[in-house]
Amino acid sequence: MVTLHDLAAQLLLHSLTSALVVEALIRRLPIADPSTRVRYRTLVLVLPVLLLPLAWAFPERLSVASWHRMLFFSPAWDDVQIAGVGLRTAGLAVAAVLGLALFARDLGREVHVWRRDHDAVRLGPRAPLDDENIPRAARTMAERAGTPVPLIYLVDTPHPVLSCHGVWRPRIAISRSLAAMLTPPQLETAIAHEVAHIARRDVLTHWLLLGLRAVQWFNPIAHLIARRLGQELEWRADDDAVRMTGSAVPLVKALVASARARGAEFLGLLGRGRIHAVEERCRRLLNPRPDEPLPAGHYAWTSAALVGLLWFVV
Amino acid sequence: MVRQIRFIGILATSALLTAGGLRVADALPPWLLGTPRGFVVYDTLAEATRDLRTRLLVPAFFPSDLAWPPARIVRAPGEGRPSLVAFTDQRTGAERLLVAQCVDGDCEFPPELLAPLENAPVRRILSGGFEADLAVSTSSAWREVRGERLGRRVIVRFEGDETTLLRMARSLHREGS
Repeated sequence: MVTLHDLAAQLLLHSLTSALVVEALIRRLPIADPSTRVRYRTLVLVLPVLLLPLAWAFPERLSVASWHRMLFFSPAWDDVQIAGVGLRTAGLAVAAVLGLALFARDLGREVHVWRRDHDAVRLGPRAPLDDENIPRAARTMAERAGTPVPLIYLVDTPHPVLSCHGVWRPRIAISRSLAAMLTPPQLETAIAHEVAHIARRDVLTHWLLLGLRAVQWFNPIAHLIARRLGQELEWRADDDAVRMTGSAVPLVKALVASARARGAEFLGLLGRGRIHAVEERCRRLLNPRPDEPLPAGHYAWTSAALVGLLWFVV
Repeated sequence: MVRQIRFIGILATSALLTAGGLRVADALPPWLLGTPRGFVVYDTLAEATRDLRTRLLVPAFFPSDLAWPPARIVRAPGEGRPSLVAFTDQRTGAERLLVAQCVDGDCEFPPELLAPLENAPVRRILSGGFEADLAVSTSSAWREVRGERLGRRVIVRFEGDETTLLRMARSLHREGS
């Protein structure tokens, strides 16, 4: 009898397989364009979730024999015991704990940002917009990106905050401290970055990603891929901002200034990772890698290969 | 065209290496344990019936010192779907009755499913209309009958007396029927 436990294990295996193939493709081809990377990573997140319910359309797929033919499903995996627990059960338990920890951490951050945004919206209309540069930059960049001009909310916090929100009513929250810290060209390019997120509907993408992660909360691979995808959404917005403003240097300076101002937030266990992410963004902005064009139909080829691999091989 | 070929080459290599790597990792525990991959272990006879789409043969005559339900139900890979149902002793928990059968009529029983009975001279017997070969081990208390029952090649191996073994072999029927 196929159990929920088995289904979770299969989803995990499918995630691992597709993540390995896509990572190999991104590195070997290589794929430098963040938009293409985002599409490939999305495939890794979506495909295992889509394939799982398909098994019910093919009852043979749910038979014990068919299940045992899949990788990591032979009973031998539970015959190897560590402290009385089968290797497969132990592996699944470790994956679930890791997955839950990663998801809980990111969800906590989401809640924190949502609350901060909520406060900004509440305080925003009353806060006088004394810096004319911000609405002017937002207007110019929105015109260049071909999107409606977003609402600007000022947040009264000492932390450097600049983020976009709202799926249907786009708005940009900016902290007074950051607005004071950045020079006009830096502020313009930072606003351009947020406008790029709005133009690409990244806020919606972000919530959809969170939903996909919630469905597979036990899957650490999905959470790591989603984090990577989040970084690549930032890269894509960076590239768009550079295209809109014509120079990468102010954006790099704005990123460094913002990272420096965060100080304490960048300390701790994940601080190194955050600093590394900022460094990586700056490096790729200053030394953009030429992107080799991919052949027509590359995405369809990859999708078909992954479906075949997941359905028939693993 | 060159770009297309390069892309497909990298995609195929990535997929093959990933699948190959995962298959090697998957083969490790069976290799460590000495159990070949491809064996299907069922928890219950009902599960085996659902999967095989036929009922396995089990003895209707069942000595009271054997434990029901079966302790082990295994299907080996290969033509004819060789399968094994194993029963244990009520008291010791050791396996005492093994019923190997070819679900699709005829097949070879792989040694990993049922190891050959060593030092066991064979003689032809006819018992209650059941014609079979009887092999009796000279070095242990195991004996087995090999024949055909309900259109399937079967081997019934038992650690015990010959009369009980033959009664069990004659009484083989499709479980649940």
